[in-house]
Amino acid sequence: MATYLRHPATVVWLILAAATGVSWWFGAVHGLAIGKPDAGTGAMILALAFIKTYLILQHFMEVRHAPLPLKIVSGSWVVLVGGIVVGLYLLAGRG
Amino acid sequence: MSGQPVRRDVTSATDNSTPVAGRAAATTGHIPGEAGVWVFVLGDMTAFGVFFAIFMLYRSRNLELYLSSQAQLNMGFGILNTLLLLASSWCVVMAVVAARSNRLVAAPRFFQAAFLCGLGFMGVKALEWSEKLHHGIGLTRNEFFTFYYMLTGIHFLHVIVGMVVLAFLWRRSCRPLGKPLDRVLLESGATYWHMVDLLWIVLFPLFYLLK
Repeated sequence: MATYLRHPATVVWLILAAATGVSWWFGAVHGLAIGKPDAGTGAMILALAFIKTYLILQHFMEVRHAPLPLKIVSGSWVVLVGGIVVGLYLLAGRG
Repeated sequence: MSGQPVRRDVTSATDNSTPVAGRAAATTGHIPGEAGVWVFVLGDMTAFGVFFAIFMLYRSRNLELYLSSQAQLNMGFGILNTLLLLASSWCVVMAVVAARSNRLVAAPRFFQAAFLCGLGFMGVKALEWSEKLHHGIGLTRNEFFTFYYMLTGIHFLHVIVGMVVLAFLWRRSCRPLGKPLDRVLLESGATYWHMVDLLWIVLFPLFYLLK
């Protein structure tokens, strides 16, 4: 079992879990504490989500060992979809 | 793992590739599984990308409704589901590592663990939806909930398919990787399951966290 826990993907999992916790804290706790929507917080939560998808692609789905075209296409998805989602989020204005 | 001979080549557990595949990866790159699976996976991710964008667009036009509706979602369930899928993906990574090293006890156990996490996810979703429906919050309640049920529902269908894939891999991993096809199936199935996790990673903040 120790061999598996020492695997690099375990570190990635810990980062993903921590990022989930950070996002939850900002979305739930911080949001409640300040009592109003905050554009920067929301954008950060979304950005974190797409960073997580990138980590999953690279380290769980082994894209970092993949041929360049696959790296480019999967990376483009992260940037394009992430960019559009964050952009539309900020477009909403107040929130 | 007990019952297995001690192996000195445990470096295989720190490198996802076998020695041969490792050399290949360094020069040409290795596509995990069948290339066709990646065409499907990237296509599916693109479709969901479009869904995400449409949701965010409609959200920007009706922010108050979306914010007040979101407040009715159970964030604890959302967090739990995220952690369950992340854990299941880790298990699948380890299952693949184990299978590549022909660990015929460890690999099925990891697939089993991933399967159980998937069951947990489905259970939480069922609980969450039934609780909503019990309070009369259904598909046609408002625009937010239409999106919510549609997107998490489509995702749920993907999870069901993923569970079939995991069950298949769970069984197959009791046998060594004999033919190249075995390895292709292993990696293809794993790739699909990670996609299911990846999609939820975006769905979760979209519906549960954005203020």
